[in-house]
Amino acid sequence: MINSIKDLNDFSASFEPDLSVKIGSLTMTNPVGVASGILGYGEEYKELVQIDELGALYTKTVTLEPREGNPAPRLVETPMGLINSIGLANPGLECFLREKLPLLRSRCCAIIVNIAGSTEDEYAMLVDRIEEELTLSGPMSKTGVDAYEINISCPNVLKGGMTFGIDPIIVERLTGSLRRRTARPLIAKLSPNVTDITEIARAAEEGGADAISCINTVVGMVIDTDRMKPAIAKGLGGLSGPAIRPIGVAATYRVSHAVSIPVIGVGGITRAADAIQYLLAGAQAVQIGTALFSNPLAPQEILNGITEWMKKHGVLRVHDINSMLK
Amino acid sequence: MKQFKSAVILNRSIAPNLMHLAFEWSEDLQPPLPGQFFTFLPAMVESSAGIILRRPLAFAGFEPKKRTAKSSGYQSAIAHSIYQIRGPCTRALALQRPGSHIDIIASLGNSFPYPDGDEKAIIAGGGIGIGPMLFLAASLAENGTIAQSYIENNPKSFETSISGKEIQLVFGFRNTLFVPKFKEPTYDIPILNTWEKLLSGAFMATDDGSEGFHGTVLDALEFLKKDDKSLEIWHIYGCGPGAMIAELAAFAERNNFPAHLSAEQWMACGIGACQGCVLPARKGGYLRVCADGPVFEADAIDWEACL
Repeated sequence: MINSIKDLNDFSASFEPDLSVKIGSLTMTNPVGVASGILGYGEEYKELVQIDELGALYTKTVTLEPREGNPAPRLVETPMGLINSIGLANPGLECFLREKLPLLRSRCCAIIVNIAGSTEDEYAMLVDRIEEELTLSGPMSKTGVDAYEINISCPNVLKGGMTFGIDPIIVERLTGSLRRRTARPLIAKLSPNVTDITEIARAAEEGGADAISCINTVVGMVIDTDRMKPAIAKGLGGLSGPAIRPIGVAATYRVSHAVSIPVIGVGGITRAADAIQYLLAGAQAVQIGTALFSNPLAPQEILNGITEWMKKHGVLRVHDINSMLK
Repeated sequence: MKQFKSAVILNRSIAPNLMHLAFEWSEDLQPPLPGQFFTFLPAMVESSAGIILRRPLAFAGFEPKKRTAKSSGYQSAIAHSIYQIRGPCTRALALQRPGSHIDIIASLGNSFPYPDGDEKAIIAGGGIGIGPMLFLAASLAENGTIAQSYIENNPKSFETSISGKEIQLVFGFRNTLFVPKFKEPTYDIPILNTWEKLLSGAFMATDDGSEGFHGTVLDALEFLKKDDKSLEIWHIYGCGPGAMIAELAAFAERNNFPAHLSAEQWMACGIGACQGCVLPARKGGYLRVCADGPVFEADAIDWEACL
């Protein structure tokens, strides 16, 4: 029984919080993942980030065919933010299976493969082909695909991406179609660029999604007044970074109250306190994105900070943080 | 590649808005190569600036760890960079005093290849672009036909050789005020002497003719080319503003010279993961400046499209 500050201090010194989190049938060792598009497929950052210590690595989006991506310039920094329009540049599914998956398979952390199609059929084909490949790897070995994150929220492509994620009927139909194709957890990554994000979240849940990633980037634009043209070639892009954190926290708060499946909070998390905001708002896990570019040690520092916070407040499990918001 | 906290050794103005930064190198890292870069975060950026990304800077030189206990000053290996104060991040860096720390990720990107035996290295730098060019020139002088000890003992012939057959530096500046002053009586840093010698041996061009040749770096190259009766193959190396790089690429192509040019682009990760810093490739698709470059063969990039 904890009756005093001293008791609390003794208690917090003596216990190690349980950091594991469950997303559908998947158990992650801790709640701190790295968002899609940040670590690629885990190769480039391996000398700077302890990838095996992450709760999860969300891969760069995989599409059926290779994509060159959008014209340059693709980036512009904004106050406490970053606008990007990469355009889902990736080597395509077959190259992913052949060259990227074997390396991902050797990782100790959960691997969430992020997929996007330009048609609903393409999403289905992606999952079918990946599942087919995984049956070859044998039931006991690590597959390298612990779950799928369905990208229905990329603002930087003409077809697919966000154009699907703004329509609840398509979201439910698409999620349902993928649900019939795999037993692996399905995580729908939602766009904040909608009138009511809870409506989309409910549609994903209805379709059979196991979790919601909340949120993808916010549509933004910067104009160069000297050249009188947009700062990035595509004009509009996706805003990320601390600038969008309050939007992400609010979306997480609303979505987690609207659905009964877990919510994974993402958007502008730079420090442990930011991640804890998302957990208090109702998220079961978080993803670090843009912050990793400036500080590759961010995931480790944030996990340490969450652990310290849990000890200080006597919280046993990450899940318990959800109910602590006053 | 490594992320480390490094102590600033020297951080001083060498021309208007142009700074020379020297910082401690991490012992377990390989020395950087000419053309390579690092990304940094200054210790403190004013919060109103809203900066969230690291900034890339090219190496301008490297001095290995001193072996003798006798030598004065810094014992650790030292990396050098020449940077321009452009925005809040470089402004914050410029305010850092010796002894303060910066967060470094290094070494990043590829490097300049050496010229073939029969090629003359034409090393062209414009404004802030002289940093990696000084590094390349010093490195060629050390590792090429001229040994470092020879340079120190025979400064005259070093100057001849850098403006002679093997290496020709061509530097362009806006006007004479922007020509850096490397010498600084309070610091005894060998690299400053090397830079001074390289600069004094360089063919100088200024946009307004206030020092050296009146014209751009490209005008200077055309002039030197017309004068050059040797029929030597030039190997062009270049770093500078986008327009200069595009002109250098066109010059190399016209004359059928090999050329390696250093590119610049906004970066997020700086290590090849995010695909943000691409430039359009001549043969279609895009190349990442941070990981496929920053040094590209002149015909690899559609430079005109980058302007």
